[in-house]
Amino acid sequence: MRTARRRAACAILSWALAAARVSAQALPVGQTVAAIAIDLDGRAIDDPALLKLIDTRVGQPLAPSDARESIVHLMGLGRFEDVRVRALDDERGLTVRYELRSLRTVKAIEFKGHLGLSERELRDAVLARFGSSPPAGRAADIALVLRDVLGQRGFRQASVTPQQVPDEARGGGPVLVVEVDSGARTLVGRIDVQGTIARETLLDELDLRTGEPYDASALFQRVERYSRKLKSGGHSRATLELLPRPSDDGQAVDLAIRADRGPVVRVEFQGDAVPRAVRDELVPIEREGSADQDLLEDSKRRLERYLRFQGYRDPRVSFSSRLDDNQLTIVFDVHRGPRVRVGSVPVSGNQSLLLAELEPSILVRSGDPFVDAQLDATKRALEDQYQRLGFSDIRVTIGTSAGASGGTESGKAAATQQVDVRIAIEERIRTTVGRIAFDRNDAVPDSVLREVMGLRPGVPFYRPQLKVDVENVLLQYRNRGYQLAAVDAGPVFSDDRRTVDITFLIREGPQIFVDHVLIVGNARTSTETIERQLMVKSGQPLSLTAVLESRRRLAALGLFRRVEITELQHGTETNRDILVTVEEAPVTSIGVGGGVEGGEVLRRTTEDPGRASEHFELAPRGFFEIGRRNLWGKNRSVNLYTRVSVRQQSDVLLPEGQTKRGLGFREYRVLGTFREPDVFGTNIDALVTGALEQAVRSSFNFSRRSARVELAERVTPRVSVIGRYSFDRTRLFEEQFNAGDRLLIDRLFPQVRLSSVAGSLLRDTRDDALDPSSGMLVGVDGQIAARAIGGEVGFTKTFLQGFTYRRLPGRRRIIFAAGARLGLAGGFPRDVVRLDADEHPVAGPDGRPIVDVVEDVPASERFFAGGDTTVRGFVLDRLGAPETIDLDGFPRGGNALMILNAEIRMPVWRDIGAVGFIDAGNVFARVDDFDLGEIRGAVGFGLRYRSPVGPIRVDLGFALDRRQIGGKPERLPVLHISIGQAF
Amino acid sequence: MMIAIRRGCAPGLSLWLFACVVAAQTRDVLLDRVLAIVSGEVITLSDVRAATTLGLVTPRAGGDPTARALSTLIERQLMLGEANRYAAPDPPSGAVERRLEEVRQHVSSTGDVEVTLRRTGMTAGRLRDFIRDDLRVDSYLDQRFGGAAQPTEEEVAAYYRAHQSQFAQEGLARFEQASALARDRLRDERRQVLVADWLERLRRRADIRELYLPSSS
Repeated sequence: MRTARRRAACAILSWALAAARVSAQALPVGQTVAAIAIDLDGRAIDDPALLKLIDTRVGQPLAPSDARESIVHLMGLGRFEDVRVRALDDERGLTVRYELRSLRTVKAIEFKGHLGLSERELRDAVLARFGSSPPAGRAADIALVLRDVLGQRGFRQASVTPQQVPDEARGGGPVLVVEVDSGARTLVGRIDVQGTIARETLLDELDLRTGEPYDASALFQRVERYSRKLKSGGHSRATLELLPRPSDDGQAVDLAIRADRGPVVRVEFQGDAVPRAVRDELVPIEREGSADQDLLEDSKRRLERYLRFQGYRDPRVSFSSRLDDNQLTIVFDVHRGPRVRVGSVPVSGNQSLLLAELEPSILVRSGDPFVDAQLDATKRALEDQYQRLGFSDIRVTIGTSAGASGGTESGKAAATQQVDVRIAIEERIRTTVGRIAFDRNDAVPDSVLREVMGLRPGVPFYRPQLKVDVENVLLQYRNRGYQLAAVDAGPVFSDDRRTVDITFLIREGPQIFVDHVLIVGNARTSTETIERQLMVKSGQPLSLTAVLESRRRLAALGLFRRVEITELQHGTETNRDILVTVEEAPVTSIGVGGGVEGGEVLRRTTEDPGRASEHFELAPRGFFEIGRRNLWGKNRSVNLYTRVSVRQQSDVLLPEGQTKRGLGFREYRVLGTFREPDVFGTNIDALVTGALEQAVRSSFNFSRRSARVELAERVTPRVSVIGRYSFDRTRLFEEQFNAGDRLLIDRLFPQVRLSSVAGSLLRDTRDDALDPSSGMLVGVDGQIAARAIGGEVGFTKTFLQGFTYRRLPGRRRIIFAAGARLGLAGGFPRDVVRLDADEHPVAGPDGRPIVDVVEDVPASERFFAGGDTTVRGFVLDRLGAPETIDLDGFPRGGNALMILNAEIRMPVWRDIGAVGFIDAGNVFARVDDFDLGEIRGAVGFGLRYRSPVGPIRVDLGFALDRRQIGGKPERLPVLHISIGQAF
Repeated sequence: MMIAIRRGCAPGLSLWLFACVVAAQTRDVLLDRVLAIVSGEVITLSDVRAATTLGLVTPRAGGDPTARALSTLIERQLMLGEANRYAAPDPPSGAVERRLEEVRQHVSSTGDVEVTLRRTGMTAGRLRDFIRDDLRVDSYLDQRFGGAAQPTEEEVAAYYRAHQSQFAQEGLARFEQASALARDRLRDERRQVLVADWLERLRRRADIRELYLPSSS
């Protein structure tokens, strides 16, 4: 009986223990979830944004896959160090708790103990691997990296112990205290040297001695440096091998060095001459400090190819080497063979196209050097030309035959031969597109796909276009989330091959949707600001174009150093998380710079009173800029820009007869701006500007205080519309005009208040705003200033401008740039009572006050031309019709302007380029005076240096029809020095 | 072990133990957690459970089973990263299907496949992707190390001589009989060494955060 009880008790005990073990491990899979809780660092939180990322749902059966996906979402945020999911089953039901541990970053790193290296070196090593704020959880990894760095530098027994200390005084993340005991430094042990370099020389060069501290990094750098030195000294085959091995006692590192200087390598050429520059370029043995077999073979091939392009049809280049007295001479033996030129180029078989139409595709021309590669290029160009017209089976055969001998080139041994090139065209059948059909396109209707087709029924069938159309169809699918879609196009020709029916067979695959959009890395920028720029939205199909456009828009904000948009695949095949990672740029930016501007300016001098003369003057300038962006996380920004120029002052005759002359801060500008993007939830950016400036013109100086509000909308990535209101007060001073030549408006309003509204439309397709090589810039600008809105005078002003940039065909990067500018302005008539010196009305013969009608535009708003950015054959502002220039040659400006520019920009050497230009234009007093016959021209040339801040420019312009102005001939030539292209 | 239970105590003890079991059933259970992050890719406890239950990985012998499986998954992720970097091609669908069938057979020997998938947090789609990636990694390793591991005739002969007694025990007394097997074994051994060395370098280079300690839960 007792035994039976004992057995029963044992059975119960066994069952209970087994049940306890099972229950502790069992997951309540399938049980309905009653509640979801989130703990962050041990505290319960209720964050809807986090809840959105959790796939576990109340009321649904618990699925471990949901928990896993939620972990992936949450970790994807990059905010958490660890995520755990627990299931708590009690009388209230099943609660799923997500336990999040914040990713804590180290607030500071402190080094203690015997560091061995400088603290900065250790800190830099941590910075390079973990960034400036390493996660606290990476302390052990940091220690590993430091141990590795110390080992590399000879502290092979170093111990590194990291410890996190809470910074209670300042709060925030912990301080990582790294205790370092570098231990004894490993020393250089035995040094074995083998090879042809003397031991002493080698050790001197490597600064290596037994018993000195062993620093692997520094030693390998010295080996590399010495190797380069040997190679640059002509020992292209020098070898230096270093093998470190710890000594038996572990206290030192023994070094085995194999050092062979190798012979001095010289390159010689024999046979036919090749220009020195070409040899240096094509046989880069000295430049690369190498003479291995591959380089020699490549050099041989490059020389032969070069000669073939020169018309030597069958060049032979070989190389050999000989070793004499430790000198390896590599000899390239060049045999150009006879030079061949193209004789006649008859074309036959072209029925559908005239010879003149084929000319652009025929790249071999009579008299040109005969180049085999040109034949292939011609064949391809002709076939393509015909294929575009539907001749898909076109056959072009190019044959050659010996032509008449061209005799012997002067002074050269090689005879010149001619080869006639026969081009035979077999056009065959012209095929047009018949029916276009789409098969298995359930998600995208035919009508949408037809819209993106380049091929349409009735148009010539062009096979490359078919490939483009396949890509276009594919893009439609990719933009609808069908990332795995595949498209095949099967053209079926009719029996006579005159028509082709095309069926696009589509395998759509699954449609992929955006599950969650995770935004990480934005500490200062609000998530809403980023979300506003995103075209990918949760629940929508994952569109390729939307991803690309989102990245572009985020980058365009200017708030981030780096923007990455990546897909995270998880769970089902049809869902993706989109992870938007941004790295914020510093909020405060400071810019300081300087430069110099040089040009001819017109000045009155006391030596020749009343007269003016032109001088070349340099004007140093400097600027300081400070900006703060992303204010309140909303991408708002404020900016303060100041600029000052030192300029020569015009001579002033003092009462005591002395002349006052000198340099001064004659020009300055202080500009404050506030930018508010996306005002009132629209796509319009607002810019509020306040400016204080003083500027020097040729015939007057002015100071201006202005305020401006601007609204700008980027209608498309290339087109912008801008509206603005501005209010300014401008004061003219140091006017140089003759009193009699001053316009009435300048006499009446030496200080004028202007209130104006303006609008601009701008289309900019340039590839680079500073130094474009392609694209166009077209702009229309209109402005109305009126007394009705607070100004003292009214006028209208229109300015049209267009610039185009094209890269010319050919291997050299030659750019053609052209531009046209047209300005038209007119004042609103205004009656003004004439005043005397005491500001009393002047009465007329009838006793009534004389009233003048003013309809000019104020001086500061009139057009001027001449100078480094307009017509470069003329001194700044000195171009104009006679009515716009006073007796002494000072420009008054006018109401109409035209400027035309054309320029060729070509590279010369490295960052230096040259330009040749033709400029033309003029300024007319009134719009009615505009006369194309009065347009004046100038030609010139210049140099460009492509600097990091933009092209530095020196131009020399020559006016084509020099005239007398102010009794003197116009200056010739005119020199300009500036930064940036002229237009 | 003998347990001395005084007469009359057994029912009480049983009730106490029963209460403990009930209490244990109301305790919270760790459903899932992060075990490691390899170059940004999260490896979870459920990944380890799924990989071991479904026989997707073959962990090394000895030590904590979770740690061993995790180490294998970390290495798999490192290799997959390289395979992705060099755009290893997708395997033929037939190969994926065959491997899927093997997994189903492995699981069905111990229980229902669907239930096992559900319990381990694995989905059919992820399982297919996992297998596809495994096959991509295999083909990448073959391409990268296959040639380098190929032995010469002399090396095969030397290997045979060094393991002659072992081959003899397997009934392959003559070199002609054993050469094919010797070649395969030598190639596999070499490949393992090459891959292990490569993995070691990958481990040093990669950003790996292991959160799992064998005693942690």
